[in-house]
Amino acid sequence: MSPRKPADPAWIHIAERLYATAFFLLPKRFRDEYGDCLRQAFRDRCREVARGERSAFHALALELAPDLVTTMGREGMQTGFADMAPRQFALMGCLCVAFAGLVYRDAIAPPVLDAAVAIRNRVNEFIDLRRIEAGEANTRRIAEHLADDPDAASRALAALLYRSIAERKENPYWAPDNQNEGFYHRLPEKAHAETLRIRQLLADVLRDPDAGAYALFRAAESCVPQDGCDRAEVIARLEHADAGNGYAWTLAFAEADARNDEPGRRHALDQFALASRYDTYEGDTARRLTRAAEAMGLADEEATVTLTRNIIEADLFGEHSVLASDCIRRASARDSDGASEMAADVQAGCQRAFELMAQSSKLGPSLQGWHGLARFTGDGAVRSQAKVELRDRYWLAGWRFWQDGVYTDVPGDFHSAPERLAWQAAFRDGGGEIASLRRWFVSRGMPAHAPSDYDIPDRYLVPTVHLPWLGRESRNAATTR
Amino acid sequence: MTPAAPTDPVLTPAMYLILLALLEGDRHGYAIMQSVESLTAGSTRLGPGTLYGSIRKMIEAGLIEETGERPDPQLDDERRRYYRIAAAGRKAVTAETDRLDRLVAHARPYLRAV
Repeated sequence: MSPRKPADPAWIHIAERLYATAFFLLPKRFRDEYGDCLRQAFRDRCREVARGERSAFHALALELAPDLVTTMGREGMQTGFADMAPRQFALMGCLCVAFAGLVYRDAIAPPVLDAAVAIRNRVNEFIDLRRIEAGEANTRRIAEHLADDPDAASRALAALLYRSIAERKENPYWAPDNQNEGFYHRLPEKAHAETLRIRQLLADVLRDPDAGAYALFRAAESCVPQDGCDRAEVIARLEHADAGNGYAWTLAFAEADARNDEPGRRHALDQFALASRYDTYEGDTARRLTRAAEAMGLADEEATVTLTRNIIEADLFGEHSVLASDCIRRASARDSDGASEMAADVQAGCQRAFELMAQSSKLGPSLQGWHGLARFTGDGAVRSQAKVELRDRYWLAGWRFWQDGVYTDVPGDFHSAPERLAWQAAFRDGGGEIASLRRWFVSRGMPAHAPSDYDIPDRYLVPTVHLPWLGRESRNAATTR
Repeated sequence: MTPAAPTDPVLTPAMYLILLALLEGDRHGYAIMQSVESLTAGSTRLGPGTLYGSIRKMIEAGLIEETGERPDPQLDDERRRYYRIAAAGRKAVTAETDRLDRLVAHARPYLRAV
């Protein structure tokens, strides 16, 4: 009776099974004849490993696996093509291509890489375009839903949504509701249907004598002269409807600036100085869009939340920056004697404008306001406060700063449905963008205010007329003295 | 240089080593692998695929044959297959050894000079 042999470790059975799985690539005749022998020899080798005579890596990776591969090739070649199965032909073809690629790698690498990059770009472009189209379709659905509401505010917001679609079509490289997404993927095209719809909706809003400030603000933002809309008229009406709101005078200033109307600019600045607040009603916008999405059953749809967010965050440094950059540019200008070219009353108007903007509940104008105060004031206490406030607002804006050799990463993007819903919940409670952002940060476990180790570069405290995000300096050629 | 006779079988290094291992007696596959490793002082370890690929070709060439006899059935797994060197195999291994011997003899004076 033979002595009882110790049982093999479990891993040997698993390895043997894996090894045998690869036998399907061997010619059938060889496999049938010697398959069991191969398994037996493999098992014997594994037992050497189990006894500690060899390292597993040496035995399996350096001996047995290469041996199996070379055996496949050798036996396949010797068996002849007639006995080869289709899968073996396929494997042989792959091996031949791989071998040819290895031999001629220098010659074929550049065109192959070019082709691979081109294919990848095409695929990315296709995916991006589908995503953009889906987002656009979603925006259109919400706009149609709002347009059905007889309320002037809803119709004006619908016009703004159509405007965002038109902007993206006409200028896909920088559209207010699709920042960074339309890049390079679509050529500009005319937005005839959207333009027509905007015109109809704005006509309805302006015909409504009860249209309030919210409706008129959104109407002013949607109104573009080249579409046949009289923006000056909309803003003139807004000036009466919400005269105490600095945002109305910001729009008036930008409108006058576009026409290079110096008296108009002076008037807007003077009126701005008399305003008592700076309100863009972005909290209302968030609530209205969220409510519309919920009514349509779109609450958890990524594109809807992204749309709402983009509409809220749009114009971060847009219309607000026209007046701000004009003030800063003038404050920076010096005559040949080095004296400021800025008239005292203009300086007072700008100062007042920055104070109001700094208190805005919207992040963009608030940043502009604190920037302006930091630049304008000679008061050290105000400058210190401006630095604190700017740190806080940049923290909320989620910007990254180079700090101690690394980027300070403030996660400001959505990565999941719960994060989107948390954003929506934070904005649904109102109070404006800054208050909502604080709630959102807290809900994500982040500090509502800039942590002590979060810092911003000094250059952000004293912006010159060459603010990096503006690019509109040349527009303000005339001076207000 | 003396050319090899046309009747000499062409042996791969693996076949030659297997034949040398079988000169010592009948062996099963794993025993052949161990003999080869021993013969070459561990410098050559035949893998299962190389071993049985060579065995298949040598059986077809009549250099070795499978044997039903088992040296010690009590101590072995009955599923193991044993191989024995055939007359043609002895002739082939002798011819190959002679050829290598001639090469060694040819090289030796030059290597001593070096």
